[in-house]
Amino acid sequence: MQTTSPVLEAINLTKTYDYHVTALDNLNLSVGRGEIYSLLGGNGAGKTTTMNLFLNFIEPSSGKAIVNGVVTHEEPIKAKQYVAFVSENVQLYGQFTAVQNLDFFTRIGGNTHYTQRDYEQVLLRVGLQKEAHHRKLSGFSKGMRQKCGIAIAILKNTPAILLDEPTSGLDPKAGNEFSRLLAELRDEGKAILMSTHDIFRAKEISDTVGIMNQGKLVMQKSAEELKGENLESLYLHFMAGYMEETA
Amino acid sequence: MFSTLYQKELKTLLYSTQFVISFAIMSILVLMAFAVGIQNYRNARTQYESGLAEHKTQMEQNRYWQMVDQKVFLPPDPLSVLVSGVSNDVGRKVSLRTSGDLVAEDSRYGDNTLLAIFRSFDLEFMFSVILTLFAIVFTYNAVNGEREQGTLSLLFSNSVPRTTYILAKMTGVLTALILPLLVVILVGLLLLPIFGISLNGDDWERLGLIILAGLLHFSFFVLIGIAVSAVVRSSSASFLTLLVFWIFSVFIVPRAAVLIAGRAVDVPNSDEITAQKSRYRIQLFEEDRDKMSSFQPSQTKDMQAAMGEFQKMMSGLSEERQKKVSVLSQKLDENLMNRERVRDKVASMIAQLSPTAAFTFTVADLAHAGLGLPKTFLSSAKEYKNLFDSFISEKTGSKTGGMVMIFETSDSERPTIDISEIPVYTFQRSNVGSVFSKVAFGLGILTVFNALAFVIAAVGFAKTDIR
Ligand SMILES: Nc1ncnc2c1ncn2[C@@H]1O[C@H](COP(=O)(O)OP(=O)(O)OP(=O)(O)O)[C@@H](O)[C@H]1O
Ligand SMILES: [Mg+2]
Repeated sequence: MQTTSPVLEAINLTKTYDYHVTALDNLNLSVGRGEIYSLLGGNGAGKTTTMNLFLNFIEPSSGKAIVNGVVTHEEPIKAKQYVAFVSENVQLYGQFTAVQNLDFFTRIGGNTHYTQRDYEQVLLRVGLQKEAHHRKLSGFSKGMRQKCGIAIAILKNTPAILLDEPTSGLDPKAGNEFSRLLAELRDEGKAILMSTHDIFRAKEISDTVGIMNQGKLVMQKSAEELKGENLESLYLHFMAGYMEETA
Repeated sequence: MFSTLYQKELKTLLYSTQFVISFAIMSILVLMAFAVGIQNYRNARTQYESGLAEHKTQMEQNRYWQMVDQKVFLPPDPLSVLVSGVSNDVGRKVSLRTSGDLVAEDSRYGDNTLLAIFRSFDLEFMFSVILTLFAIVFTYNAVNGEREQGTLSLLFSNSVPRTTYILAKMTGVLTALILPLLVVILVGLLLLPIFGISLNGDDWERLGLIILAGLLHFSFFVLIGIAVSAVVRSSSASFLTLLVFWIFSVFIVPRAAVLIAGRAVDVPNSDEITAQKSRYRIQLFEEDRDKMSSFQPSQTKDMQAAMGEFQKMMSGLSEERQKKVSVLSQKLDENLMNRERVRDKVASMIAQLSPTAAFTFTVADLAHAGLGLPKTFLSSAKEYKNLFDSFISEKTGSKTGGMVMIFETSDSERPTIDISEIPVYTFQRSNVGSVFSKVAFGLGILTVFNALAFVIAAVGFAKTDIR
């Protein structure tokens, strides 16, 4: 499917914590330009660990995570230029307004050319109501913060975007808007790696879906392959395997 | 990158109401320290002047030079407004009418025991105790608070070098704290001339160095707060860690230093030495008693001449005794001084383990209130005593001290003396150059502590998990 080299790539990526907790076991995956890759998996499956390795928040025990051709644990500062990140619980500075937070984080991301109007526009695009743009973040709900986080990722304008359960906390309408937004970003050519518990949405928008279990990628199917399949029963099938193992 | 992070640090502090309120309280306390100091200085000044005046009235009642009981007084120093050091514990009056050692009496704490219990509320206390506590309150969660809040992971999903972040954190917080504090201190300094405390150039130089030492001390606690918050994971744990560190640095180490030094170096008690001297004096007197009792005048007709002969022998003996005593006392004093010097050195060496002790020693020296003050005052009194004694011998033809017998034959020929002829005593304060090496050493230590905290923060944060 991919004609060019992948933007995000995990090669034999393994993370073992002390006391032999294998959080991630020999993961191989790749996300190309204009592709949405969704990672499914139960709690503790290793999804956040994967994200953390791509961001060099933790060092891999073996293998490597590559962003735009740069191995993250070798050149973290360089690698992070090419990736934007939205965590499952976006936290911003409570004393600053939404626009001030955007200004700070885009500057930190290396973009100093944005104007007040750009910030307001992107906030509208992610669905944050106008009256909140100049309000302090301390009064924001989780969903509102999530929207700001997505706005920051959009403004960073990187080839790759990492999203760790980005829709947790979004209301159904915002969730829908978010799906549309992701599709737009994909069409712009971004490589998007997203972890989620939302099987329905994952099937709807993803180009590739992976299911993780106990640190291993146990299933990976393209949208085409999934067309006739019931993703939910597939998911439960792999989770059942997990249940049996732990029982 | 750096300036964006730096500005963010400034703003997050300045926008926070918690910070503004704490800072306002801190400013009020600093200004209060100035106000209390000014009040104390004025009281001390009044006390000094009334003491002088009273002494003058007493002196004016003297009719014989032999009877003059001259005293010297230690004038209060304007810098003690800010740093009282040992100045409240030092006797401020020395009576010269003694053949033994000069003793300074009437310390301020001796006069006012309430003051002695609560010690002084001066700028030194402010800097060493209050401001350091505020520094910890402002910084204990500087880094781990951001992690707990969750902003750190978003921040470091960008190409931010950790050293840039921690550097911006340290400089930003320092700027946000020190600049406003400096303004408050300048306002306090402005109060000094407004309330009639006159300071000369040397005083201002010393003041500048005192403030510099204070700010270095404060910035150390700010930096160590950031360092601990970067190394310790949870903010509650870092607060506890810092509190323990603060207690040790501010209270335990300086006190322990004094205790340990006292144990390590055996310094004879000054009462012991005085007793030793007076025992020797008595012993010598006993030895002379035989000579006195076996005194035979060369003739017995002229009573006046015989009396003169007796007095001459007495004064000869006394002079000899005095010489012997002074040889011993010099030996004892020298020994005492040497041991004291060693003890003080050991104490200050141990105390250098705590930046607060280094700070306290440095500013006390700068404010003419260091450990050396009692000795400086006594030796200046001793020097003046020599001058005074030779003045009196010139006037009377005999030595001062000891016993004086005056026979008044009739009331009609009462002599009078003009006490304004007595040489004036002035306490010469050394200039700032004389404490240069000590102060440079103290400031150097504080700088080293700052650099240490800086390195701990940078190295510690490079290794911590930012999630
Ligand atoms: N710092 C750590 N030390 C030890 N084990 C860890 C650490 N962080 C994560 N783990 C372990 O790694 C495994 C994977 O965790 P991870 O957070 O990646 O799961 P996840 O798929 O994101 O789960 P969730 O859906 O709950 O977010 C878990 O077993 C977890 O306990
Ligand atoms: Mg997770």
